[in-house]
Amino acid sequence: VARYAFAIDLDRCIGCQACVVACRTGHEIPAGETFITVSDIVRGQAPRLWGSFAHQRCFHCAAAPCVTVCPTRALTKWNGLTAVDQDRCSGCGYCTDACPFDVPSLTDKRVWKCSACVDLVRDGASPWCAETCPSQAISFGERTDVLAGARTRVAALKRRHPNAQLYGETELGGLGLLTILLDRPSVYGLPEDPKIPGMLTVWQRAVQPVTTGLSALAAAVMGVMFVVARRRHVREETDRA
Amino acid sequence: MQELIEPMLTGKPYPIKGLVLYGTNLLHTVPDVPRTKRALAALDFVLAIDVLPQDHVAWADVVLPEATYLERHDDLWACGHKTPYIALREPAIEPLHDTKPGWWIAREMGKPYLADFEADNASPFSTPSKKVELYSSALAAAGLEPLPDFEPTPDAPSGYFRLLYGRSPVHTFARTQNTPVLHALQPENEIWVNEAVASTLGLAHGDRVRVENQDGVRSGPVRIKATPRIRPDCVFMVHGFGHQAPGMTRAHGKGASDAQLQTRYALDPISGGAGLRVNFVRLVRET
Repeated sequence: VARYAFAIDLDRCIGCQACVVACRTGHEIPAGETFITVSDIVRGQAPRLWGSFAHQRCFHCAAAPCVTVCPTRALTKWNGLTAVDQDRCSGCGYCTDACPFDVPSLTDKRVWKCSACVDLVRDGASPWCAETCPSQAISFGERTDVLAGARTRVAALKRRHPNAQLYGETELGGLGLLTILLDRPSVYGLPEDPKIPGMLTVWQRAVQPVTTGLSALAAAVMGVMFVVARRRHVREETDRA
Repeated sequence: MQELIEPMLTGKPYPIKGLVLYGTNLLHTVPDVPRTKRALAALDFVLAIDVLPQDHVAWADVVLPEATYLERHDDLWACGHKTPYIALREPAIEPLHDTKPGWWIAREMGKPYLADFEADNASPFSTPSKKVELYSSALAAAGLEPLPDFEPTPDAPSGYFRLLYGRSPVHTFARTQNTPVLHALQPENEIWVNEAVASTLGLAHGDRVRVENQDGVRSGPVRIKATPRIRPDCVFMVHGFGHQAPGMTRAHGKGASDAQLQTRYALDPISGGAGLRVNFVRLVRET
């Protein structure tokens, strides 16, 4: 089974928003929604400035909390990517609470989130953003290849940007979107150590097994009740006869 | 282009009676917009070729709507940079409406004059020395500075900022503000003000102001962008906003036009190029 991933190289990103436009056009995203937001980050005072671009979009976590909480399987994992089936979405919004990166959002009672263009990827093509990026800042492919390329870039960038680092190699089981940062994650508004929300762990480890247990118990009780009731019924019939 | 405006009004050094406008966004490009409008009114004939109902198109006697870039061939683009390349534009679809490509319009209009046309075989180095000249003997002979030197421009008067303008990666000139997906990304421009200066003026990021220049010309309301990215004595806006034409249904009335505020310009005596960053503005709080 393939495991796909993106890498975004923030040393190459020029902030042109072409990925945003390609994504919006390719997916016919309604006004007010977007799968990608590119914003600029500036520190210092003119003319001594440091700047970079932050990309807010789905990180395609291996252990994706949104997939865990989704009760209708509208969110699923497919070869390392977190796919979306809007037709199955009930609009409950559990995913919006569970995501440690605040990615999914609800419009018209449906979830809107990057699905990594899985329909295109299935056909052997690249996602719109990677295909469009004019500065080759976005790459896409087998995660092992993408990861190797990203590591090489970080090593080269360390000379110019001592704090350069790769984000997403191991976080949350390894993200499907690796980001080559020029500085610490917090500079980009990213959690330094993203965690699955505590309640979600409880949900996964305790509530789900317990509810499954309770459902099984209920089914068992129902079964016993049925047998008991049937016996009584049969007995009554026999007594009457 | 701005040097054609004065002859339209005065007839000197030669009269200009008609104008064919193509690939120029006249009322967003040429400084001193009221003067441009007077000049347009003084002409006998104006022909506009465009893909959009831009502000200046409403001033034309005849409009020849051009096919969009997706519907036409364009001139072959041959670029002789360090890495030379040739770019060819091919139509993706037939024109949706009754429109023609610019080259077709030019050819049809030029046909009566083709006989007078002679090929120009000038050498790329038609200098007296036949070399690339940094020190120009031709300029010296004309009594101009043969090796031009930097001449400082005046500083902004007290209470005013130098008005700078430039591009954003989202929009192309004054052409794309009405394009739905680009409009959604950047519907209006902002006036960049140094954040320390903004706080001294009591202006917060996102506040609406009008920009008024040294000649009292005022822009439409525009938002403040308080940022460390600009020097304290300048303000900046992205070019291409502040469309007036109602046909620009989305862009109409959004943001401010830098061209409208450029009532003055400095002319380079050698190239004829216009320096437009010589206008000074102050910020008037929107009440």
